[in-house]
Amino acid sequence: MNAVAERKQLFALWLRQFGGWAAVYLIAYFAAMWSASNLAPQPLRTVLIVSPVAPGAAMIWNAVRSYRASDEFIRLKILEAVAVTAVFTAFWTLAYAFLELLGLPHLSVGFVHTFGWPVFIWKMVRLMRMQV
Amino acid sequence: MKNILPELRAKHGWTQVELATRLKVSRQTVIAIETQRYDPSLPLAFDIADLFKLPLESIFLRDSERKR
Repeated sequence: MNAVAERKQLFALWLRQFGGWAAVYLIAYFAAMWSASNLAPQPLRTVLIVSPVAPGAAMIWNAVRSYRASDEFIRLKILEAVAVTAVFTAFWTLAYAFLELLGLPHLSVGFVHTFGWPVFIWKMVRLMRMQV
Repeated sequence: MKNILPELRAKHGWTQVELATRLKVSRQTVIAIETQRYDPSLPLAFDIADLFKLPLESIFLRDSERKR
């Protein structure tokens, strides 16, 4: 199997495991953002605002299943990526907490994901592209 | 830990993907073992030995410079 075919296979696997839930998450995310600022307090608003949690949990569960299905080397690299991501996120959130005191805008705790996931994804892409 | 996996694989005419499929591991794992970036666990090392029908110690060689 050449590199292009392998990349296509990996992308298809990613779509099967995460793509559908990622699409649902994005739709729910925008619905939550819209309802938070446009709807009056009512049950529908509450449901819409918490709706991204379900597809988010499904993606996390799929990540756990993928980890369990991986071989020993891939598991080790996933754990390394998680550790690097945790250290980066811990440093950045700590630093930003003090930068806020200097006048930077107050951010929601949800922004932790924005800082953390790119690091993890970068490590995983490097692993997938690993060559001799 | 040194190993002769690339030589054994070449002798059998297998690609890294073919070897990975036979061992039920990823291509990345085979690459990491062949380039000595990763030492396999004992169960995987025994699987490799079984696949090539060779004793473990003839595939994986102790690093002579390592201090015991």
